[in-house]
Amino acid sequence: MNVGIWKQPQFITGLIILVSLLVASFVYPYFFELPKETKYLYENGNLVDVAPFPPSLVPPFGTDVFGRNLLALIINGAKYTLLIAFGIAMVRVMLGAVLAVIYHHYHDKLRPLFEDIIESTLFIPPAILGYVFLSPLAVKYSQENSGFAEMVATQSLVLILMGVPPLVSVFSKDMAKITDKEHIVSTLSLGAKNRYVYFKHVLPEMASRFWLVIAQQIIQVLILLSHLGVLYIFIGGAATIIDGDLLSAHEVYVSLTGEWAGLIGSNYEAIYHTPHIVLIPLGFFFLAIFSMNLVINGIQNNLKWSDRGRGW
Amino acid sequence: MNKKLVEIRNLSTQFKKGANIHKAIEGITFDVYEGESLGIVGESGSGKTTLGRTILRLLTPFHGTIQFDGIDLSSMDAKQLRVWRKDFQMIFQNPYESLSPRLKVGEIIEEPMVIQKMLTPKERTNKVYEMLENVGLPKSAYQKTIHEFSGGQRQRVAIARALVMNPRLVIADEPVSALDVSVQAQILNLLKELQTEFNLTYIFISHDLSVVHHMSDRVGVLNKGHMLEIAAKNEIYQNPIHPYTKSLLASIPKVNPMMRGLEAEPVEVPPQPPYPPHLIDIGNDHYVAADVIEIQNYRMNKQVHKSES
Amino acid sequence: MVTMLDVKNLKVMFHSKQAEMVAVDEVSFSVRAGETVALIGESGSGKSVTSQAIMGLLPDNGRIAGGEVSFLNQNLVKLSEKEMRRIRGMKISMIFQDATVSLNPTMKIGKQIVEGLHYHQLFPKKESKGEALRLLSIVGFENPSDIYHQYPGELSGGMKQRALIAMAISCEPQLVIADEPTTALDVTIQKQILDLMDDYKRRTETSILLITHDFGLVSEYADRVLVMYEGKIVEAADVFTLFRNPVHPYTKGLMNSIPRIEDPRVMLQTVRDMAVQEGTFEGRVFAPEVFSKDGVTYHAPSALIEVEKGHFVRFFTNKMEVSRT
Repeated sequence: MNVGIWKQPQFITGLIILVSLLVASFVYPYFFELPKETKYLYENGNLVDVAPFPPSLVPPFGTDVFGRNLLALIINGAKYTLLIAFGIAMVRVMLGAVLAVIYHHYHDKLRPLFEDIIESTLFIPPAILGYVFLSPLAVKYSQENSGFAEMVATQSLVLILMGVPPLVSVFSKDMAKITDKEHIVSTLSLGAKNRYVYFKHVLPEMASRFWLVIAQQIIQVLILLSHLGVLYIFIGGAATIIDGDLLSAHEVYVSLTGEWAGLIGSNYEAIYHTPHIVLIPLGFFFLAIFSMNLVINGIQNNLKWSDRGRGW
Repeated sequence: MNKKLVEIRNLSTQFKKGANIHKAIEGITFDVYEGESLGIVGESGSGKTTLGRTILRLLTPFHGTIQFDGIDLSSMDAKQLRVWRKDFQMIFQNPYESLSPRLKVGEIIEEPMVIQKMLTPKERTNKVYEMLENVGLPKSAYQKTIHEFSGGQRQRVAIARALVMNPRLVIADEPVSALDVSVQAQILNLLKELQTEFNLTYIFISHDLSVVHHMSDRVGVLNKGHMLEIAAKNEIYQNPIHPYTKSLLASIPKVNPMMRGLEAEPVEVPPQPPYPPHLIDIGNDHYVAADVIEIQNYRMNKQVHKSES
Repeated sequence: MVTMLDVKNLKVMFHSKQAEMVAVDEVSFSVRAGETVALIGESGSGKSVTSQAIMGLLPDNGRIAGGEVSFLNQNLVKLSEKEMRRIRGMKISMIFQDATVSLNPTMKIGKQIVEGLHYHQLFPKKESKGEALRLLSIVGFENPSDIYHQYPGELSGGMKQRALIAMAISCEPQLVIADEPTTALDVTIQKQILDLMDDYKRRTETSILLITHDFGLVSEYADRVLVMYEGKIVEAADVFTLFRNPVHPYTKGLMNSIPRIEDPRVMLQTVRDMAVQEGTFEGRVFAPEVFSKDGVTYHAPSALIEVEKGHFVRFFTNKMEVSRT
């Protein structure tokens, strides 16, 4: 990554959108109260309406099925959603890079088996893979009532590990390209140790590439989270609430953190009569992914520019 | 003749690609004398780059020995080699790829000393300035990155980097083939000047027969991984024995339109023998790969010539 | 002799984000029928740009800013892209340095040749296979029917270049533009390919515009030579005259910087040694030579001046005399 990146308008636009979402999310609780549940609306002692309330009553987006202000929920959930996605993407790339060094080094012995395994896993949709791994966990934790942090950590770990193998494969191919370059051969011919070559030349040369992949991974994780939300897998676990009146009581799951995927998941049934409750968080997912894409385009333009060098 | 600096005996390097074994070089034997410049001529696929990299032990030989000043390099492991690496250096073909685009020119030239843990930082910096001057670059080059330089200047940086540790052997692998003709002349001149100044021994690898002729004292001809002929420069260019050497020489375009069509020698590239040929001494330090009958014919012809003159 | 190609005052500009720059300027030359004209220069001299401009194949950021390219009295600069396509391949064809890029890797060699023949509707479909085989044997393949069914990836560099030549001559062009046709090839193969082209030229009276950086090739194959430097022709003459009496310091420098086997020397002269007073005369490196003829002194920068019959040199100043050797 070099200075040129700050001259890419796409990169800056995307970054500004994401950062303002995050800032709003952190600052918000200091100025407003967190959204409260308002399930029933009485007027003069008579029940006049039941949540979800329309945007005309609670601007700008109305409320969710529990009567919470949707905008407030989204703003509040932004930090969890974005930071979890960023964190998972970041660790995936770091782990991928370290393992890629090892893999690249012992490449001849490991390659045939490893490539086959990775290729076969690429055909399974990540959402299904995630569901298979995470749903037993969700059940286990809700039964044992384990701590929130432990839950988040375990879930994140699973989501991280799911994404690492393809990255190892991609990175090791990049490394193979770089280590074939003459300036690396030249450095080896000076008697440099492998560790020196990796830390001084190979990894720094891949830095821009790493940032690019982190951005791409954030998008993948966001998409994966939204899918998992629909399947009632929420990061941080779900609380079970008895919902409905006495006659039609049923259990619903509510995301504990309030991240956007949870919002979609817990309101998913409302899509039939008040679709905006699902569509608006989905829209914010879109906004985040769109901004991330702008960031990626910016990085890619910058990479092209620096690859070309100054000559023509 | 000076003393032998490098002795290469029966050197072979192979690459495995799945079940296929590609013999890049096979049965190569030659010596390099201290202070001389040995040219290696070969076309693409001749194994000339593999040969250079094997001698520097960037590749592990499959068979054979490399003696450097009496020390056997071929059997050393990576760790033992590290100490010796400062004595033999390489100049690569493409100065756009052989220098890190991320480092400053000063850092590029300093790096060999950092890796070999030589001198103090201050002495290293001084040494870098000294080298910049030796290769004809201004002091201001130190702080620049190679993006700011042309191909010829980059190759000067590469030469400075290779020579900064006072190596005894320098292998130059097509050092001018990526450069324009006028820049090529500057780099060739520089390499010649530095050879006298630092008493260097060169192995000069190229596909260009004119360049090799200009740079070398002795010349070896490589084809499909085999050494076919090796002799003193004038001997090989004026009295080529092997048909491949002959056709190579006949293919060089003459830089003189008056000499058009004088060379009627048809281009004939012989098929590769299944085994590495033996080099036979035909006198005058001229070694050629040939079968026994060819040698006898040659000797007879030579006798006839002698008696005539 | 018929004049095939006549380029007059060609000027090509390239624009980048910041500025527009002149890549080729004041380039005039002609190629007659059956003649090989060589355009020699180093990278950045504008030799390749000239050929691209003739073919109407300039990259998107380049344009012809002036001049004429007449091919058999037809100004190619004025033609539409559609009309140009009829000329390219049909009347003028091109051979590039890298045959790998010019051939379609997913299509068999024979099919690519046949397709070219169809495109220009030269042969009835039934006969085109026979014609393709004939072309492959012309370019020196001993087993054309094997090559016909092979993919470019299965051929060596030299064989690919031959297949490319077969495609280039398939429409019996009147002019072949060869842009560094053998730079990527081994010296033995280079000789075969160029001998092949030379032979074909002699038999069919085709004209060749050879673009190269190699004085060796020029001296072996060219009839006339144009030396290009920084977008301009600095010296032009027939090949014998040029090698006997090079006048422009750049030409001299370039010739002396090649190591020669028949004329060995300890140190090579470089172009820089010939350049004096850098920075004078609009930053031109080769300034101080002059030519006065019939009492006329030529001022800098001049047009090409005929120093002897058919030998043109560009001068820049009026301070010294030309040394004739």
